[in-house]
Amino acid sequence: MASKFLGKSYKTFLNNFVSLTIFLFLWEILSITISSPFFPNPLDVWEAFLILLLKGDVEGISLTTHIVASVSRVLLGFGLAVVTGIPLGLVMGLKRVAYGSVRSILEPLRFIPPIAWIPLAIILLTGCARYMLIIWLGAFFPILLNTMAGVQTVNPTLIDVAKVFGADKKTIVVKTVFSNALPEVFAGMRIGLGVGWMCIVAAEMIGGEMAGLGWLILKYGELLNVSGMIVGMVLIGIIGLLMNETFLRVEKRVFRWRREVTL
Amino acid sequence: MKYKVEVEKVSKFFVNPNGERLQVLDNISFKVYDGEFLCFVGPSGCGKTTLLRIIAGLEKPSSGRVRVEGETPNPKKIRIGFVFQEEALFPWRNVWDNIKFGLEVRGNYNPKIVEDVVRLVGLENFKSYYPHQLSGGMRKRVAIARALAVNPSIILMDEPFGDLDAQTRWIMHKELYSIHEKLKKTTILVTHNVEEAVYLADRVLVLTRRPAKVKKEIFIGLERPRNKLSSQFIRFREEIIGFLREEVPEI
Repeated sequence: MASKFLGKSYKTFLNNFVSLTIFLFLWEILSITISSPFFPNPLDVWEAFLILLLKGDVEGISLTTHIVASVSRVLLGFGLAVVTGIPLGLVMGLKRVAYGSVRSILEPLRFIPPIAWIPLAIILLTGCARYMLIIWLGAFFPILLNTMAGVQTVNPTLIDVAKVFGADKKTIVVKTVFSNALPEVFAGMRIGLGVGWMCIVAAEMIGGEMAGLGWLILKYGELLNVSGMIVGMVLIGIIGLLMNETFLRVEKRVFRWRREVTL
Repeated sequence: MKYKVEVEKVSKFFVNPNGERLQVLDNISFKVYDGEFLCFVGPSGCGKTTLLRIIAGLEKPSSGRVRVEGETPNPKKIRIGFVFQEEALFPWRNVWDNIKFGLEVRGNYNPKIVEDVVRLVGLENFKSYYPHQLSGGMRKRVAIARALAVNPSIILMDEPFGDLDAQTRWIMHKELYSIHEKLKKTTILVTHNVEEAVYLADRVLVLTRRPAKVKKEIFIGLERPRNKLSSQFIRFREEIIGFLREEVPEI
């Protein structure tokens, strides 16, 4: 079993390595064909990365500062989305009337893209609150909707089990409804974190602080330093991937009771 | 107290989504002695489950009254062990944590009690298994252990072995018999399996079609453990099937 699994993951790794190599090769060919100073090849980007890593950006701000700034902003906005989305999702999942009553507000609201909020955020908010609003807008709805959906999947018999043992309302909600919803809540958090992370560039457009990966991209864009820009983009992609993978791993561990293995 | 459960003239109506009144139980009365094993048999859909739910206090009768230990059934006051027909284990809890659930809810979790019931149902080696890793028979054992863990004053079982294969069901009958011999808990079991009823019960109540009334009361005066192939056993079985056939001619 173990060796088979190892073999499989090794094969996946190899396949990905091959496709990545082909991708870089095609990129190289494209850059030779286009041959423009604004279309860097992979090596240019690698070089820009090393410069950013070793010397910092044009203003001397280190890459770590940019990364830490972006990640902490996203975590703040995401945290806010968690503490608002989960309780609200729980209430609205349990009380369909509550959801029905605010549907006309909630449903249109979630189709307004975070970017559309930027002017309003600039007028009404300052500093950190601006970042948090934009990221919260991205992360909140997946968490809310998944929690709501998860709450409704509870098997009514399990609630009867709790009732028959004399459980009060609070115990029923915590020990059956919420426990049952937890995998979906987690999935909502994972998706929310991803969407929140994708809002980072939009948020940093208006944050007004000199650090952050989104800010770095915008700054290098203005300087027409395409290689540096791409470094920022790739880093956003890689960090997003790492966050998602970490979450998936935690999910697999916490919810191992879900794994479909029978005796 | 001689009677553990008293059911007096209980009727139950439901209103279905079309606004029609549906009568499920019709003026049912019976008493259950302390330590008795009582079985209900009746045509499917006759309202057996509703009757159990009323005794458990999960539902209220439309008229009539129910007394468990002399009081109106209330799971918060009376310890009830209920084994549901459907799959009712918490999939996110392993065997041990499922069994301790009732104790946890009541705030008197004690590992020794859990250990005892785990041994009683023979799951010592599966304590950390999750429900999806267990066979159907083992899952039923967990459900029975969970019901027993709270030291219930009555045990209610709603077609507990309906979804098991014949062989496993046979084994479960034997195990339930020996558990009852050991603990002598007042038990009400609802089934449509006549053999199960004759094997386990002190007394069988045959219900009519919906709305359910008590059609017949049969005392199973056979010595235990019972032999499912003995002529007396078969005579009881045939007698009950005869009553059922009057309700459902297709049998």
